[in-house]
Amino acid sequence: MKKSVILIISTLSLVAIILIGLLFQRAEVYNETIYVQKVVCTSIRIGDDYYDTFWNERSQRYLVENPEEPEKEAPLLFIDQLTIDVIYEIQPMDASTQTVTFSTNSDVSIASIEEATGRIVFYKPGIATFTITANDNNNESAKLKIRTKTLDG
Amino acid sequence: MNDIKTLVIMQLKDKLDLGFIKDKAQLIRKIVFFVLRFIIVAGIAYVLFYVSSFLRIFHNSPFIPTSVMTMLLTIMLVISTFACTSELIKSLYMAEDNQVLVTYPISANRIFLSKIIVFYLYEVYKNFTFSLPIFIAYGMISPVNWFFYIWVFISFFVVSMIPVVLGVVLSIPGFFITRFFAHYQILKIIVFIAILSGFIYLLVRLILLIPAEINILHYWGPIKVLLSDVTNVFQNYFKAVYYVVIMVVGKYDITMKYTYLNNEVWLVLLCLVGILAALFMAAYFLARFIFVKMTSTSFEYEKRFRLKALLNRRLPTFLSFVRKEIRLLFRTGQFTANFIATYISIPLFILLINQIFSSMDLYPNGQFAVQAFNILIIMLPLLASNSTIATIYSKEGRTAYMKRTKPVEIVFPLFAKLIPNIVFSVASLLASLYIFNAHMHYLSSNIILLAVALVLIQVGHILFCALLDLMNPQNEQYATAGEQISNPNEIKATVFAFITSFLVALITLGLLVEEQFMPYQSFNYAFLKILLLSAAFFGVAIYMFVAKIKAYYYDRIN
Repeated sequence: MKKSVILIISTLSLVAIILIGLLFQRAEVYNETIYVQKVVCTSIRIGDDYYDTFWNERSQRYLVENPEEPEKEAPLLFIDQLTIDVIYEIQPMDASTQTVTFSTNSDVSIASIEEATGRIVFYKPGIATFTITANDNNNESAKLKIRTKTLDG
Repeated sequence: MNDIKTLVIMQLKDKLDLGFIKDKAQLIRKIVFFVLRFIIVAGIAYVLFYVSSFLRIFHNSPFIPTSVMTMLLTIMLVISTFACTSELIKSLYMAEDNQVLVTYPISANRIFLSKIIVFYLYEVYKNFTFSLPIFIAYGMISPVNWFFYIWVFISFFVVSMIPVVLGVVLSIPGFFITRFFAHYQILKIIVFIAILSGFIYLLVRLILLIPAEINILHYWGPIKVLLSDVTNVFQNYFKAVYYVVIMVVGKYDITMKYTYLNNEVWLVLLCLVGILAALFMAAYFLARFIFVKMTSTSFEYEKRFRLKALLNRRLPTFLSFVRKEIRLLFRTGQFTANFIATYISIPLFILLINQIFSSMDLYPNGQFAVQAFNILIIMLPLLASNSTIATIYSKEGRTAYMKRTKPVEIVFPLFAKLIPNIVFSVASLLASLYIFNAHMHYLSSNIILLAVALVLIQVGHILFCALLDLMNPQNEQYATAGEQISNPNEIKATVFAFITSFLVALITLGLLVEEQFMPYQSFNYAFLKILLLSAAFFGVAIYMFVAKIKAYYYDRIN
């Protein structure tokens, strides 16, 4: 059989499965709403590198984990325009609304965060705290504290 | 250097059909098609990246991480390396043209080198039509440096070397494995069947893992997490490919922009070229030795026939033709590939889609759609695979006339040629229907009627395809140009297969809706009506097959 025929059949099947699933599945299945129970900040990304975060009971915040010393905070090395992506997870994973909003109450001269994307930019060294709030349930949020410092401390 | 160039061009003509270069109109058409293809692939890739970004598939973030490209490039490189290795084993050590090429006034080393260059150029061509547009699309959605759009073209000349060099290295053990299996055919068949059975078993186990309840919207979250984790696995465990991606797109800097102002990028390039050169040189000296040995002992692979006296057993006319066709079929591996691709994959595919559908809680209209869709998916690949039947007589080339010399009714050899395909395809059809019924639980009378109806359509379609070949034979083209011709009968048969499958599925849907049939209900007239329509189709096919044989075989000769 020709590759193009296989491709057409596969695409057709995928489209049909999705269409039948969406059009003919009983409405009760979709009407069930699952609310967000918890927002978890799992890691941060700088460039292509991921840094794990951990939950600190005392400060009630997620902190960036030192890769060599688990459960210990690691300050990030400040470089002008240091850009960080916040990586988070929603629990339960099949929550109906998965979107969140990012915000910060910290000094805007130190760092800012994009409300929709969660991209953080540091302008000067210091400490900044960011909040990830579930859009379907304002009571569910997670706070992330990031500390940056220069080489000379 | 000129002699290598000549050899390369000569072999490229075989591989890529470069006849268009001399014809200006054809050349322009080829370039336009190439550019169009490039734009289409880049466009599709861009849309996919955009959707991924919009739906925040990777790490709940709108930014597409480099790990996605690492995953894509790894998959592409693995496929290319396997393809290159298998092709290089044939082309370097077992190709029939080696014996012609060594007669040229050029050293065996240069012939060997020219063969590898041909593979490299072909790999560049393949990458420029598929991988490169995907990278360009990635560049369009990511914060890449302007330099990327120049560099990506240059870097792909280096990337294309990877599967070829790995192919040359792997072709050495590959050659010895092939040689070993060539000596022990039985072992080869056992290993093949064992691998195939293992693969089917794993696939079935995987399909049966599909959860009992599927809610596409609610599963979206876990799917996103899974996809993000998978891309991370590729980035963590395929570091070498990740570095190649960095070399192509640049390194994400601290401000989340891709930049080439980084030692890592250039160090990777230097290391890659160095490693590839070292690997190639090592493999070159070893593989060249095998190549020279193989070309100098030209009859190495000729079979040593073991003469065995057999009693001549007289068989009925039709049976002896069928026996001959079965022998011809298994003599080459071509049928085996088609057999696996079509006849084994259809029941597996039916298992997959029914497993998915049985996990959905559907309204009655959905149940009708599922039943009709099952029939479409069973018939479409089966009928489309019949397009090879539309070439079956022409492929005999100039030896086809031998059929005319036999003192038998011509319908015997002509029909006998279709028997293996009829038998295997009907078996595949029945297996697919068995799986379909295991999910639907039809009453026996209903499923039997449906099975007979679909068998009649399949056999009828095979006869129509054979008829296309009889009415417009392409024997001369196959005799002169080999297998690589664009056969109009094959295209007609494929179009006919699509039309027939859709018609069958639509008619079934219409009849099921009309009768408001649900799988658990008792005998239904819808299936009787489908059977009657199929019988009419089969009747027309068999009548035309016999009538046209008379017109195109006997009357044409006279």
